[in-house]
Amino acid sequence: MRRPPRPQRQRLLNLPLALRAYLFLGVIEAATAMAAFFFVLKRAGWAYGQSLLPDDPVYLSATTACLSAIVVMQIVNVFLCRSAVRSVFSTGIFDNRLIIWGVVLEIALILLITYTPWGNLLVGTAPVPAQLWLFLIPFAAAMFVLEELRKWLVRRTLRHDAKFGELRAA
Amino acid sequence: MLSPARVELDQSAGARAHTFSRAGKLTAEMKIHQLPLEDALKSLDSAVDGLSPSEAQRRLRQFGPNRIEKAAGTPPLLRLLREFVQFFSVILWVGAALAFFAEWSAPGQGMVRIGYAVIIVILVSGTFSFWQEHRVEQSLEALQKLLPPRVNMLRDGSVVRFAADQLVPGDVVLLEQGDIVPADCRLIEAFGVRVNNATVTGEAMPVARDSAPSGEDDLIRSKNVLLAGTSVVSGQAKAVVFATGSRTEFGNIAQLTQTSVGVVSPLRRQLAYLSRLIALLSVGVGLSFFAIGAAIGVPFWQDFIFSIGIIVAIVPEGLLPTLTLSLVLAAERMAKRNVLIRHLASVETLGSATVICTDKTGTLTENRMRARELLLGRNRFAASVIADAPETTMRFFDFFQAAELCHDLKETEVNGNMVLLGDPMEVALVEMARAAIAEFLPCRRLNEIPFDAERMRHSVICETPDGAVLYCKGAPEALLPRCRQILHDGRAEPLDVPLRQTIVETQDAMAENGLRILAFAMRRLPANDLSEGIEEDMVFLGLVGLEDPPRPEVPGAIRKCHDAGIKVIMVTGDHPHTAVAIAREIGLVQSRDPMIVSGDQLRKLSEHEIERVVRNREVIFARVAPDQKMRIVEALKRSHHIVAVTGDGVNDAPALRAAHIGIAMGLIGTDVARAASDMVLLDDNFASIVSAVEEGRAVFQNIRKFLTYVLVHNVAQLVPYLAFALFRIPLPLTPIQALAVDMGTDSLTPWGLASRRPIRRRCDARRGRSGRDF
Repeated sequence: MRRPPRPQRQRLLNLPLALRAYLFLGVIEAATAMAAFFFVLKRAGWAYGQSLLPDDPVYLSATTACLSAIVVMQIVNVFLCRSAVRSVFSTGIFDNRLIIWGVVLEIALILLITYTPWGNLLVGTAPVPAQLWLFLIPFAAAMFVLEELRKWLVRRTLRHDAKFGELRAA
Repeated sequence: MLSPARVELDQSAGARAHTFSRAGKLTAEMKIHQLPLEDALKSLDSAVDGLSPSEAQRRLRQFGPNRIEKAAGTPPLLRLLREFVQFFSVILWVGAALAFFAEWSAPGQGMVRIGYAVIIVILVSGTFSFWQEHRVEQSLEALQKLLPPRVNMLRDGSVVRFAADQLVPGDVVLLEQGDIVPADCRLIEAFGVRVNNATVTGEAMPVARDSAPSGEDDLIRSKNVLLAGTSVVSGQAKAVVFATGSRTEFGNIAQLTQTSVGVVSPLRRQLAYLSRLIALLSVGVGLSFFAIGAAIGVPFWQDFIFSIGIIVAIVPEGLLPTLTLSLVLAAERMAKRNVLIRHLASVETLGSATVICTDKTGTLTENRMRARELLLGRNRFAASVIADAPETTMRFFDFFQAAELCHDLKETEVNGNMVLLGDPMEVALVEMARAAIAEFLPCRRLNEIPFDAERMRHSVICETPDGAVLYCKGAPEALLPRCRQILHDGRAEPLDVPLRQTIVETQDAMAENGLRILAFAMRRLPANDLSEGIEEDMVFLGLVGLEDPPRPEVPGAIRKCHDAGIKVIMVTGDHPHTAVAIAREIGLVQSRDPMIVSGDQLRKLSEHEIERVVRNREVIFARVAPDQKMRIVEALKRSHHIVAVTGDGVNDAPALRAAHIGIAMGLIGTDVARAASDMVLLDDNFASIVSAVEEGRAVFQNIRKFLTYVLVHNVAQLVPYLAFALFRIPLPLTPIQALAVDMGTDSLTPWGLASRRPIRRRCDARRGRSGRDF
């Protein structure tokens, strides 16, 4: 309630939002997903140009890694999306119960999909090596740090503008 | 305790009532508007004192509640099925059908599994949005029940206030300006009654109504009938109900033409557009990838799989239902903060409000009036002393007699105590009079010229032991020019120019202390007739200054508005000095010389000049009639403001409709104002508007957060397909896995983003800091 009313012409999906979602956060998450896919393939000795059968366990495990990466990154993302400018540390982590339950569901589902025969059959997946989760940690951290950095820069610009505005008014 | 005779009467009433309930309305031989009053009452087995509570109970069982039953809606099963054939679902069905077709023409590619997965998605998301719609409907219904229409009725001679659906044929109701007529009734008494029958006849001009029998054949046009659903534009009436619920004329029409009006907010329109755009885009992208794949020699069915995958990945299934539900959740939270949303779309419009035009009395102030100062004849008194000075007050007997008689209050018994119902200002005046004088003259009211904002005065004509007397109460500006004499110490003296000057000065001095000022005058009449000019040539009795303290939460709310870049404009019928004094007290005016525009000045301003006036930082409109609000609202709209305006009376209705957000008062507001509004303040409190604005702003922000979150995973779902097509690697994410993200793992988290409450902490922090500014 400290900001002026939203301009009437402001669109729901404007350029800054699209850039941030598609080209910043989206690209980081997509890169992570691809990296996870290749991480599993490489471990199994796959080389570029080699084709795989759709029911090859290595291939299934690699696609599952891709899926798992997306889920892990979305868990980080939900906290980043709570504000476009404010830091996660000021929006809080545990105070939105729906988000916490959502994250719990997210973790439970991905474990079911990855490690139970039932989940494997339904979604067409195979178990992933435990090292994958360690492999994903730096990516998740990178997305978190980069977005926090971006928000910090935005906040600094806003503060600067505000100060400048006050000077002008005075 | 019913006597046998009474019981028999009741049974015959039942039998007769039965005939007209079956026939739809009164049968030919008993047209109620053509009968003399006594016969009309008798035909309904009622009396001027109304029914007894037990008889009313019995009739309620017989006739059912006084409401128009909703036409049966679409059955739930059909609505559920409808979810499965919506725009997005159709896209997905086509995808599934193609998958099955693929399996049929090239078995063994695993296509059938994709087909089933897509169908599961359609079923899950369809059921989910059905549940959301259901939830929306239920809470809207619950919100509607928060503010049931109420009506004053007579039961066994005493006034009671009940929900309007308790009315039965034979009930005697009391109606006044601003009420919506709850059932078809025949007038018993009418003072200056005019009604607007537009809802039934379509005729927009108000028409006069009286209690005399009518020769008119058509019930609708009969001058002594008030029709359910129409509104009382002016005056006061007592009337006997003869048809309720679906048996009313309005009920007949309503059942023929019941239609539900869809809610389309700017946000919803934007969102619908956006999600269609994204859906078409995804189909486009899917097709072009199919083409690329074919060009670079990907086997047909493999090419086909990922085209479907792309489409499924990008289609935003949950966007629209999520928006509606987040609006409803916001509306529910607003209801907890005493704001009742009538149109869902206004939740979001409110978030973009740039100006709030607010009334003063009852909204910014508590509307708990108390007399504080008096001018009796030429002497000024503090109101606190009059109770202990009977000799003094007896010298100004007529002043108090006027205050005791000139009002529209109803006296009724609540828990064994006599309570006055009505305008708090009139209550304060009557209480003042009764504190001053032990016993008044026995008087009978002969006639009344009701208050209206244009005339700014209210007169009653009473039969006193000394003959007919007119007592008049109103704004000093309206009364003083109509007085020739002043009553001082029981003697009428000429009201000369210096004396008038003194009265005006006293009035200004009182107003500067934030008091609301009223004047009283009287005139002895030769006879009871309501001729033109009856309110001229009166005797001035005195002034009373009433205090009405500001609500304690209001200064904080005003500060929040200032912080949030929302301009607050006070529009009041009170004296300019009173308005400014209150405005200063609540922090609405901080500069030395705010812009103050009176109703008379406003009348002379051109549209363009009003636009210039409202551009000032601090603007107050005082002594403004409600119908002038409309011009202020229009001027603000032309200056590209999003305008919220409050109102409570009949004359406020056009402004409430014209504004982007019309806000009616729940406690003191009239039915008419409520019907014209987008939202209702259950506690009449200005601070509640501000908290509703917070909620409205949060909705827009929440949807954007939700959107960001969902778009991010769309990119992560799309890139694997790009890589597959461009770099000839195995497909990193199968379509079913992409769906698992959309419908499974990411199904609940966006909800957390979309249903977030506004952030309170920051506003509070600011409150502490800006406290120093004052």
